[in-house]
Amino acid sequence: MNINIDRDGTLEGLHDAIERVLEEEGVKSIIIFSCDGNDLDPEGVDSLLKGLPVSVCGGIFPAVVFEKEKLTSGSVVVGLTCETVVKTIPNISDEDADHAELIDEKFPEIEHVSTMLVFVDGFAKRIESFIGDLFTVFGLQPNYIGGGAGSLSMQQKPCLFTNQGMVMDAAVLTLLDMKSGIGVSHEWRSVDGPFRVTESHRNVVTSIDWPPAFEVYRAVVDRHGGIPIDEENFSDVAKAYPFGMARLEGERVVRDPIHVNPDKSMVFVGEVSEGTHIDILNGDAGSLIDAAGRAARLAQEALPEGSRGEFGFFIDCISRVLFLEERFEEELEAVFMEGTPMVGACSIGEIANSGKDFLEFYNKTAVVAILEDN
Amino acid sequence: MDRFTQIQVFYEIAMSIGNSLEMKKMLRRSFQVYMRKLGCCSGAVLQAHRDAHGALRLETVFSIPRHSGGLPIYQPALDHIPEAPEDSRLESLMSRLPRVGKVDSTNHYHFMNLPDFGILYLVKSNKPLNSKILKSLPPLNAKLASSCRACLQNDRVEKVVKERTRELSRANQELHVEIKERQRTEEALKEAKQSADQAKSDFLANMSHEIRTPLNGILGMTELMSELSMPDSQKDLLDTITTEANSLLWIINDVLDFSKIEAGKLELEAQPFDLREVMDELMASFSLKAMQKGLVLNTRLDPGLTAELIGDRGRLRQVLVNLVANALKFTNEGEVVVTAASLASDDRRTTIRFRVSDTGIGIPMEVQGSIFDSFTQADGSTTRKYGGTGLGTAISKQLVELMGGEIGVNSTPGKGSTFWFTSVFPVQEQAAPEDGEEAPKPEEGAPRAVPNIPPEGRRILLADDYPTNLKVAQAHLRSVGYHVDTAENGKQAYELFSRNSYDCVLMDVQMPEMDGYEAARRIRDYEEALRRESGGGHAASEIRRTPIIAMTAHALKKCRRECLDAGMDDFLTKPLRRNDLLAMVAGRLSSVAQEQAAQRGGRRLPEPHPQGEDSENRPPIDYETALEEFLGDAELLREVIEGFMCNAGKQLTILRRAVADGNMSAVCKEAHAIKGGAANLAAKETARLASELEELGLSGRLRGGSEILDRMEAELTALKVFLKLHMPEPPDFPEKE
Repeated sequence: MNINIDRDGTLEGLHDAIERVLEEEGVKSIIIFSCDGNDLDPEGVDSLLKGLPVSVCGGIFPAVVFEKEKLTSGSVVVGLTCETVVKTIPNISDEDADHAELIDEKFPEIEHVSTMLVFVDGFAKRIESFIGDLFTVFGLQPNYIGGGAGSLSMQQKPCLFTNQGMVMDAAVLTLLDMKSGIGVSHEWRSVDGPFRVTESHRNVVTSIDWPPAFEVYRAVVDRHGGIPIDEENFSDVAKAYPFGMARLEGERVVRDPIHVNPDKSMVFVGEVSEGTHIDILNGDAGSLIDAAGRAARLAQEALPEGSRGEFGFFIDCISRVLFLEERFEEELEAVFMEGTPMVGACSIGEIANSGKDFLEFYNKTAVVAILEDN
Repeated sequence: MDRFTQIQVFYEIAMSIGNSLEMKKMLRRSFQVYMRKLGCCSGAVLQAHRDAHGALRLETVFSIPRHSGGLPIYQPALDHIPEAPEDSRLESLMSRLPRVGKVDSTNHYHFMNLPDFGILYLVKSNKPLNSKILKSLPPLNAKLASSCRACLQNDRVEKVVKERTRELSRANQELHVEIKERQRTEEALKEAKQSADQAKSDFLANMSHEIRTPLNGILGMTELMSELSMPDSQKDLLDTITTEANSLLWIINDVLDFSKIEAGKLELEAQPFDLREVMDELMASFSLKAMQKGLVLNTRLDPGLTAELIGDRGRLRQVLVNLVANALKFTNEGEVVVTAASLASDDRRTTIRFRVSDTGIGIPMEVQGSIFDSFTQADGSTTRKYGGTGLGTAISKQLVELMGGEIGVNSTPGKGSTFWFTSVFPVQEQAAPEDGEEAPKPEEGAPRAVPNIPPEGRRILLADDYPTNLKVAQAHLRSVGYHVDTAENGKQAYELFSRNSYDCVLMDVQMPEMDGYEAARRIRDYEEALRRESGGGHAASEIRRTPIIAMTAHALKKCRRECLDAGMDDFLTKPLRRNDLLAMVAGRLSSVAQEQAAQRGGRRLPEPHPQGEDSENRPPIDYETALEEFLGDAELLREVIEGFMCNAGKQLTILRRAVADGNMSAVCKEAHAIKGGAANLAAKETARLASELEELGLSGRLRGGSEILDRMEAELTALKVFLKLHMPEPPDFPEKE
């Protein structure tokens, strides 16, 4: 494994970084975390990706993590010496698509997989269903880690890297023959609830306990935070008040509200099914930073016995970055493990399982994977 | 976990169950939620059923993950149920549900009852579901089981629906096939019918041909016999045979025509003709019959009518003959009048309405509508009383329609009928005649070339497979002095031709072994080979083209074209009539003689003098021309003239008696004979007078006949004088006839 970084955020810089990674002997595949702030000509990127002599995965994210550093421009290129299998599943938003069938077709003869990197278009509309189908096919066999790519502009566009160029509304699955340990944590706590989602479609919640979703939400937030929330300051305030969906065990699965529609329905990163009970959550910087540290420790602990972590992936939600602001550095510090190179991305939704339970699509969550290179 | 969380989780699981009636789709959603909410890492919905031996079987309906390495996903857990032998573990399991235990150090299995469906199998890491949850799950599981059963039921219903749909589709296909089969059958029937129609048509055509051939023999023989002297009683019998044979021939021709029309094989000709001639012929044909019945037969042409038309003269005549014959047949007193009047006309075409009116028995109103149907006469008794096939009017109708016209009848029973029809004819373009020339008459209406070559010494090859035909034609030809060789088929004909020299060949077209067409082609090839062998110079031109005349019962245009294509020069339609046969042969020999004379630098026969030429200054015979016609053989010419004058004297006597008696047929016959003989000798005025007399006879009106006879007698006298004065060796004329 070797890591190279381009801080220019240019196509040439990316090209050079890739070239340097490929200079290393035995590199069989590369992972690229690229910043949305880069000035990359899509056609140039397509051309670059199509011309790569090794398999590639990754994507464009609001920010990229390298060691203890958050980059908003530039790219991190990771060269892997292990065998990988990379497949693209298209049309994630398609209501009629049976993704389990498609995944089955794409991976007909996979006998043993240790770890799967899952990069998905963060603005696709059926990510949770896709994640469920992915787990239906593979079950607990691999550890999963990944997240949603995309831009904070909230515009859906090609954001995933493949050997066929950049794609959108898709998922890129990379099977790694590398043992791993996964840790997931967020530390968002309920401030009110439960509420029942009475009307929703995919990632849009129309009503909560029948009144318009935003009215119920605003009442709770206003009461808790003291700052009246409206359509204007929605992003600033809502980043501190996500939804949490209950599970029998473990932390709630967080859903991040990103937009209010004129009809007072609310748009989330990820699906919120009708009938789901939600709590409205809140967190403080300290506990969130603690949670990130906990995720790193859980990952370390989950590493199979006898394995030695050689590098880490840190997928942290961009909304945590926005929430923590300057204190995000502390989160990076909390996750960082001396001697273990850390790369990753600030994503639009995180994908992981702990290695022991159902695979989930999270929001506002810190996900850490420690991997052992062969 | 607080109580609220449990309620929320259970509620969400319950909400996710049964959202589809399709098992896979339903479980994909609900089982994912079930596992996700309870924090399970794998599991399956198992359907329990008993096999044919009553043994319990578990079938995995849905599992997460989908694949479990070949073994049932629940097998590791099942192996941990210790208290029952392996072969009865499932029975043991089913009898005590739920069952919870450890699969390995971290994973715990859960077997739960899905009532009336099977088992729910779940695996959870770290710790098992607690007993409270386990006790709370049965209602959810019952809902899940119920939903699974509904899906199964739905699946069965769908299978039945699919099966029914398939059956319907199959039935539909079978129906489609049956319809196609029926269509094919109908098509085959249609083809069979067409084929049968064709066969019928061919049969009729062949039968007609087969019947006509012996009939022609009969007619030929009677014609030959009529030239023998015999008692009047025998003559009457012979006349009856001739009449009946002609009737039979008419019927057969009707049948043949009808079958041809029905089969769409009748082709109309488009040749120039003169309507006046058609009407004259009609009069000539029926005047005798009318006279015999004491009826008046008249024809009238509208004075403004354009008579020079283009069309099928023969078929027009056939319609008129049919209608006139019917009119005469069904009229016992009074008259039959044929008129032709222009309905509409311009420079290019004219529409003519023909009417045949009689004062006969008339046609009852109720059958007037079907009078033009096939095989229909006014009533059944009509056929018995008046004879006929009833095809005449049907054929007339179809012929008229083919000619672009209409036909109809107006009739009052007891008073008479008027049959009318219309026909559209293109009008002949009138070329301005040059000075001193008459506009040429259409070929069809032109009188046949008169024989002007003596038959003696001329050798004819006659080929026909039917002995009677052969005999009749041979007799006619020999009667005037031709030498005749006969052949029974085309092969024999060709062999004879290649061994001998012939002046003319008469060739039947339908013969066994080698037909007439092939024989004609071979003869032409043979001639061509001879010409090549002789080097193509003067000698080659001496190898003349021998006229070949086809004899065919098929008067179709196509048949004629085939004759010409095979290298034949002309054709005669059977039954052969003596005069036609002799005229045709003589005409062809004459043409050859003219061509040869022309080749030798001689001149062609002068055209007849136009009428109005000063008779005082012209000789009664063009001796030079006549001599040339006889190839300079003065002796032969003298002999012929002697014979002609001898006959002419006798014929004049007969003609005078016939004119006095109003015997039209005798007038026609004798006048025709004189006309031919005189024309042979280039005695043009005599020929012209004979022709006038013949026309009078044909028209049925002999007024002026005596005057013509007087002039003819004078002309013959003048001829006699001329010959005595001018011929080197004048013929020996009897002084007194």
